[in-house]
Amino acid sequence: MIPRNVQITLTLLLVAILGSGVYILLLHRNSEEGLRRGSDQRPVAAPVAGAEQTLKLTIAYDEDGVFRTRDVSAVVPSEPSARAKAVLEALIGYYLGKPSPHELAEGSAVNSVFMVNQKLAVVDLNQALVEGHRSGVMVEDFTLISLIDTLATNLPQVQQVKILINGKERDTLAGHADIRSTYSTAAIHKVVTQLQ
Amino acid sequence: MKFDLKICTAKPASTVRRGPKARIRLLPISYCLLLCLYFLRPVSAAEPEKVSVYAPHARYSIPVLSFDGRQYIGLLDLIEPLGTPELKPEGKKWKLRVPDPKSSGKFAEMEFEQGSSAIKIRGRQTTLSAPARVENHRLLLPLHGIGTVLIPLLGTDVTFHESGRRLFLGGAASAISSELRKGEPSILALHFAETVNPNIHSEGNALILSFTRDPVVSFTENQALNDKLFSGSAYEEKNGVATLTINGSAPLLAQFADTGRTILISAAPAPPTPGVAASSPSTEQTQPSTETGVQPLGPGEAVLPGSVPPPVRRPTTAMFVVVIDPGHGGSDTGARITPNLPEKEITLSLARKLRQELQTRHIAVSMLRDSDSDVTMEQRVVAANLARPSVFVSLHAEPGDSLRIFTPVLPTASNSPLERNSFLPWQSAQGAYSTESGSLASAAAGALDKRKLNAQVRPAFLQPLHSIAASAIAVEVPADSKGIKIPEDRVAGALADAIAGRKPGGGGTQ
Repeated sequence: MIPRNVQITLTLLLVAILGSGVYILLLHRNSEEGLRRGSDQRPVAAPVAGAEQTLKLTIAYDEDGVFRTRDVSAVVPSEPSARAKAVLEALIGYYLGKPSPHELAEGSAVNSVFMVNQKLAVVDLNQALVEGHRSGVMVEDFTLISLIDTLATNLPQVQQVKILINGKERDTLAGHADIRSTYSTAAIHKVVTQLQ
Repeated sequence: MKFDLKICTAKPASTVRRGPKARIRLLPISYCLLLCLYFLRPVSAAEPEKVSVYAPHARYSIPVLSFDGRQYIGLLDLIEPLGTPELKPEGKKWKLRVPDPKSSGKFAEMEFEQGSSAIKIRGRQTTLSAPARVENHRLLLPLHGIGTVLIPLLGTDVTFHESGRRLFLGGAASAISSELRKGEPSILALHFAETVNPNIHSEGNALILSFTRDPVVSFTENQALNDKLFSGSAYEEKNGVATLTINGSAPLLAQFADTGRTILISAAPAPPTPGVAASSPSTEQTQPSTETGVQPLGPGEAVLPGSVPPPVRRPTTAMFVVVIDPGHGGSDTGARITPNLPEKEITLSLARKLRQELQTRHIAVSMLRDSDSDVTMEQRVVAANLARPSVFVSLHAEPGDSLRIFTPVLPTASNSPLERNSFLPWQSAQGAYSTESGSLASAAAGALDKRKLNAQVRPAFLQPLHSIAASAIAVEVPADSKGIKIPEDRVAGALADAIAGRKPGGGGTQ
């Protein structure tokens, strides 16, 4: 026969052990959640708001083999890097719409745009854009020219553009168009004028 | 100082005799000057310390960091290109998980603690040569004995040349074999297991081949060759680079063969001799009399004297050579015309047809590849420019309906055309030939039109055309599951007609 006082003590100890276990489990979950949040790279704040503006997009028309300028309205931030990214997102969004004059792969996007001395724009495109891009001299060139000319039209201070894919240099977009070189926006605009 | 100045004004500098007091005063100034000179020495010339890593599917280099007199490397820098490692902190301990190459879906785990030499890999305890460190959120492990970590973690063969800082994973290392072909003069053939792309330069009579990305090794450091031309070779590994020096009694020349798997070293021709450096063997046979100074090479071969890439020079002779570049090749398939028909096959077939058409018109031809081999963009440019071509044609294909001729446009806007008499910039050598390229494209479109083939002439930002020091065009033919949609012989014939028209005395202007 176990004395009553021992029974009470053992019960209390058992409750304390179970309580501690639940508390430790909660602490562990909280710490895991904290780590997960820490590694989450998704933006939590909306981009800097700006006024709705008319953007001029240099659109490639594959069937006709020409470029045409199209106006679209979009909310564009004033900060140059964010503005450049918004401009290119508007262009890619135009191409991803159906029907598209120049189809791009689903998931194509701009990772980021870095402005160097306000004259050089380093455009980092995502892997989906190049992996799903059609291979061919003209179609690849059209993507390249359209991106650079749209950027230069809406940010006239940009004089040179360098393209990266997921932060890395690459020889070609999909086997043909040269994306290792740094492009002069004047050279690109000259070609657009020829093909309008 | 005042004392010195007085002396200097009193006597000519050569006759000044400074007393002991003056010498004592000048001593600290001299030390200061020496100290300044030491700190102002060109430190930028020092190459950053690195380890070259050679795995079966990846070649890269990672930086080496020094702490407390010991050398460390970032473990994630080393592992990341091989898979997708996960690194998690667990209190003071860290846990690294990498996909197990031996069983898919499973992971190999490694546990370690900052500041401790003891680590656990796949449940087994092992000891590092120095404690693991975490600097700026980077996990650093000592370089010495890194193999003891990598072998159990990756479950693969690891060979680490610690003094040369070259790490070979999965048996990636391949030996260099050499063969001395005795003769007058002799030729030294270096054979490699796969295509190599060393940096080659010469110092006096020595030819130095530096391999950074190629996992080549030699088991003999110094080898005497006992030949009239070749005295010996020396092999050295340093800071992730393997260097093979071939010493000769005269200036030497390197020549690639067997699609880059063999390097033939021979005596360099006398410098004043002008001439073309590359041509196809078939051209040699058909036109031996007209091409003096032409060095016979096999298909896909190129001559590389001096450093790579060499300066782009304009042709010094009026020889008419056409370089054909069949686009893509090897692992670069180009566009998928159908799942079973890659662009590279169509371009090679069209290139062979064009070569045949040009040879029937007595035009020398050099092909940048004549098999399904990998040729990098840089190798194409080097081989093409060393052939000193008059015309360069790059061939492409795409699933479509249009036949297109592309003229190169340079990525940089130039206010004035480049001078051909000077050295041309590598990235924009084509700038000196833009007018001729445009005119060649128009001539090609005209010739195609005569054969009832409609071709569009368009500008394009296309490599390797930017770096070609000659009239250059790219031709893109439409293709479907059966191959080229338009008759191959008509396209090749029309292009050959247009090119032949550029040949001096061929009815056109060059």
